[in-house]
Amino acid sequence: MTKVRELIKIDPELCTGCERCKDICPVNAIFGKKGEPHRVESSRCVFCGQCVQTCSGYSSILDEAETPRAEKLRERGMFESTTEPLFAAYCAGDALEVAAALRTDKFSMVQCAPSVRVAIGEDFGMPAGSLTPGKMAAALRRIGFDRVYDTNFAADLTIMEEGHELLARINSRATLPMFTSCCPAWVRFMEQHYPDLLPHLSSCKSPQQMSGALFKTYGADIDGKAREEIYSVAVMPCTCKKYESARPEMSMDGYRDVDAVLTTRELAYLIREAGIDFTSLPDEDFNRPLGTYTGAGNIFGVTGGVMEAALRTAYELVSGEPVPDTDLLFVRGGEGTRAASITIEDKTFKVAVVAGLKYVAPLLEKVRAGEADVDFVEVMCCPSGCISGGGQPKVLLPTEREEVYMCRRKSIYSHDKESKIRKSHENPDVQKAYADFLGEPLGHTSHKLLHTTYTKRDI
Amino acid sequence: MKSFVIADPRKCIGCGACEITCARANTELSIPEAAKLRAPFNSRVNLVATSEITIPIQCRQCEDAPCAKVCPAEGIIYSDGVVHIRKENCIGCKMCILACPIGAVDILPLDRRLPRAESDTDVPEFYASKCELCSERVEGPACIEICPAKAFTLIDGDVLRDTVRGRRERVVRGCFIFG
Repeated sequence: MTKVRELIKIDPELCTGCERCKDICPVNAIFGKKGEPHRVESSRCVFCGQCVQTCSGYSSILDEAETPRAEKLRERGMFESTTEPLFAAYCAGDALEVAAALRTDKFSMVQCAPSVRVAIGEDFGMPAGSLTPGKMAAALRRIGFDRVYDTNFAADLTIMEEGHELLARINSRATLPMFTSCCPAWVRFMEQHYPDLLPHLSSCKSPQQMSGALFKTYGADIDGKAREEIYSVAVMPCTCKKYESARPEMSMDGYRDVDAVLTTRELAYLIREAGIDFTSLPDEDFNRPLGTYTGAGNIFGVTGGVMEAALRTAYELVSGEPVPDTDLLFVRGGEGTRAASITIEDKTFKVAVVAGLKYVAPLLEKVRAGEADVDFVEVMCCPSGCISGGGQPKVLLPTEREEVYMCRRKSIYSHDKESKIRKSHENPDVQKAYADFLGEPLGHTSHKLLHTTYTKRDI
Repeated sequence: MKSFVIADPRKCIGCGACEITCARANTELSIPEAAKLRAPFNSRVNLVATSEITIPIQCRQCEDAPCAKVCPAEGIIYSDGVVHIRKENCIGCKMCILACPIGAVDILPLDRRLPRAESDTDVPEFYASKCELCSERVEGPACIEICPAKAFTLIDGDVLRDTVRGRRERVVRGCFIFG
């Protein structure tokens, strides 16, 4: 077994052993005695980064730790010019590597997750939840990306694939319930703790990996490039996406589908390092076709979003009629588990949404016992979905956390509400991708590029 | 009698949340604004974390404050029940730091990039700083509010009186046992 990259770490010089990270860790991967420096056991860790968000043990600019600050910054993959306080728990980043790669003559393509556009403004002094897709696209172009695409395109594509997969499973009475597979921390958790239930996971790759697979095939063809000429980067609210992108099955002919993943915070470092004044940037569009998205793709960033987007499309696939009300409020909510059902023609579909990995075990035990009365389940590891991911701008005060997450959530939903197209199957460039390149959902090319397999992993 | 905030080392878990909220409470900038200006992160409470004990240290608002006595520039005065630092008078001589018996005073950098009020133009680059009980904060001291371990207490005249009375009663009861 290859050793996993140690993504989430705790600096023993800064850790005071307060144990709050241990309390928040959903998989008990943090060890140490109270009052002493703690450490993260990478083989257990699902890399969600919630400990990074919780940690308040910081190094003041007045303190001189044993290791000089410059060295600490290097260890963390941060630019030397970074002035923010350093906290004990951190995610080893890739901003330096991406900055170096952008100086080469590779043809660079970038994608951004939905949650990045509602949070990155916070790192530049904008109010919590500021919606800045246009500024983000502009910043990425100025940093040097040749194509600014969007993960939301692939989120729409995921709905096409996953929706068809769900209906196929229901019609053929195959393994149910089906679980979503967008969240890499959740997938890793399943592989570690419930390998017997892996057939329940949707075989769909996450939107990040679907994008990556398309960048180096369909995307490369559009620009007349070869696979090896492309440098593919993803900007994510998530620390675990770095792990996902490095999984061996997420590459083809020896080239990774996603070469590097930046967190929202790391993108902010890059923008600042480039001397760009983010707040005064003009709004620019994403590149077509792999940057075209609908409101449904955008709500993937909040808990319940994948479910809502899937139901908007599934309703129409089953009944041939559009869903009566596009806003499916019954799947929206916060941390914890919720269940709902929707009747389409004469069939009732039972669905459940889980936000927070620590809440999922009871449901999995029911599935194991064959007692789970549900067809489709969305699981996200982080408490409010991806908007509260481990790579998002850090909310320094725990008392402000809920409020900030609420602002980001509102922003995601208002972006959906204001979108002209709000259903994944109506995305014109997704339709075109099927017509020109992919064929049909669950077809041969889709199967090769957009679906994956899972394996049992030892802890 | 002046009130003060003190933390219980038996309760403190050493998380540092008090330092962060203190830095936040003692700047006019919101966290996003401070982030934008890359403002220095100045806390007036200092967490001491050793392998044996963790406890935040902050000003005890001494009745006869050595820092005030030693200041040659009338930079430390008693005002509204707190030992208050007049930034505009501070000359940065650091005598208060040396005089404080508990190490509650710091000399902190004032960020030149911050937008300043006109009355602030005479403020030096570095100035003395210490806990002033968040006297301008309606909710009271921010550290008490944020602490997940409830380690802080605001000690005022009433708390002192009740503590002393309780102790004395215990002593009296002890006398009965021996009597």
